[in-house]
Amino acid sequence: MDPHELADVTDPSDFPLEVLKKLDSTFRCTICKEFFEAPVLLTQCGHTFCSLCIRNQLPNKPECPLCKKATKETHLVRNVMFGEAIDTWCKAREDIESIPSTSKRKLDDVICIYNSTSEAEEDISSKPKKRKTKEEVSCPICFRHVLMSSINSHIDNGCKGYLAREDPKLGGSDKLKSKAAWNSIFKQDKRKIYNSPQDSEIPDHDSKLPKVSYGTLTLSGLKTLLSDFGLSTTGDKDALIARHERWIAIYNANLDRAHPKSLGELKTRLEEVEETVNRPAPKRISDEKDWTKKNQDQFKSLIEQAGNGAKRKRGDDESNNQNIPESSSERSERT
Amino acid sequence: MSTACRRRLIRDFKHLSSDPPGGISGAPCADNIMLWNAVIFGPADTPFEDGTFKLLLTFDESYPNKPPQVKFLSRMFHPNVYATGELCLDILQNRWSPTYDVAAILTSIQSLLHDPNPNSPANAEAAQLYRENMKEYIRRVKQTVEESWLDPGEDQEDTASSTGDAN
Repeated sequence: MDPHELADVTDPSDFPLEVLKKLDSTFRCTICKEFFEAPVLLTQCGHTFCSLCIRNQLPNKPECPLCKKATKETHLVRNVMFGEAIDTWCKAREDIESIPSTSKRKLDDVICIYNSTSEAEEDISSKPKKRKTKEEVSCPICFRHVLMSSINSHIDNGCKGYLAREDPKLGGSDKLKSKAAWNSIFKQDKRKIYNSPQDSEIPDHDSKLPKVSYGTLTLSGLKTLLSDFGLSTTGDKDALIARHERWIAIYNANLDRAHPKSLGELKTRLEEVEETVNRPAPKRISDEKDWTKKNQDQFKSLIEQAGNGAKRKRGDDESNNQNIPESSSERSERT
Repeated sequence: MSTACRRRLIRDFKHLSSDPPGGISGAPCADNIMLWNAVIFGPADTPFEDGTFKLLLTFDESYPNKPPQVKFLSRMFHPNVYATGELCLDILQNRWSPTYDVAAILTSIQSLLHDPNPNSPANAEAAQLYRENMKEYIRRVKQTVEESWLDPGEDQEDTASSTGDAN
């Protein structure tokens, strides 16, 4: 495994503080363990998952993965406010993370540091303190006043715009603002024209795709369904059905986002998913004795680790009641 | 490209190594994240105590929507473990939930050692002894505990003598 990948993955354990660990884990989907993406509420039981995670799971088992209460796709509702809370936490997290995690600190200290680092970010703090990024400097080329934070953009733009204060020669700030606003509108339009019109289309929130009863569909009917969205029609009937089912899940999950992505982006996602599903399964280990021998060193260090963990756990008698499946008399009937 | 499944496995590894449950460890192979080696210590106050049992977990891209295949590499004598090392455990079959991770799987296998279910036996002999002859059951389990300490290759003669015993 690439160590960069490991460092790249954020985890509640990044925080030294128990409260922050807990808070961080409440913002994570219990299926993918990432921060919720397009969270949806299961109205039968009140649990929340990423829209795509639960849509991929329900065809396997029509129940809540946490409490096993029966549910179906029509019971999913966008969890709008929770989505906003997650966005805010993700922004806040970056600031909190810059705290060295070597020593355990009191929450007050953390909040204090958090306040001071977050001041650079707008909207959060309304304190009248002067912020570093709001400092004005004079442009080395045109000598006009520019904000420190936007000096690079100002120079890149040929000394046009990004001014801290208006130069009287250039007219009032309103004029400039409206010019910038018009510019941004035209720029957006230009971008749209370059993309193919269909792929850049952003689906409407209320346009969920219905389930299809594939049994009654002919091959050509299936192909029409797929080509309506410009999807590939290669493969046998089973492959086409699998593709269409995946498309419905991706498409409908996208509508649960605060800002749905364009059809083009969804298609790329579908292609990525198909690519991984079609990967050959890992070969099974046939000679287990040989495998154990080859991996002798890893097993040795694993035994050491497990031993350390056991000692530590005996030391602090902390019960770990996370999501550990209860071993019950209901164990499989299969023999 | 890091797929959803691979990302989840990286996460599972991070969780397992940052907050390891007692007597449990596991890690993916260096060259294949879909194959994991794991070790479970036999729980205290059971005949399995002090055993260091090795396992192999095989994942595919359907994880976590589908459970991995889990197998003991060490020889086991337990009512719910087949001779091949495969397990008869509900949460790895019909009661699987995509919210489980590797730490949860290994923890529930550890508790299966603690608390066998003789009503759905994978090893009929072990189940029968567990119900009817606890003393013999403990003796047979202790044999596997001692075997689990040996390095691979070392256990050839011991296995031969114990299988003779078993039949």
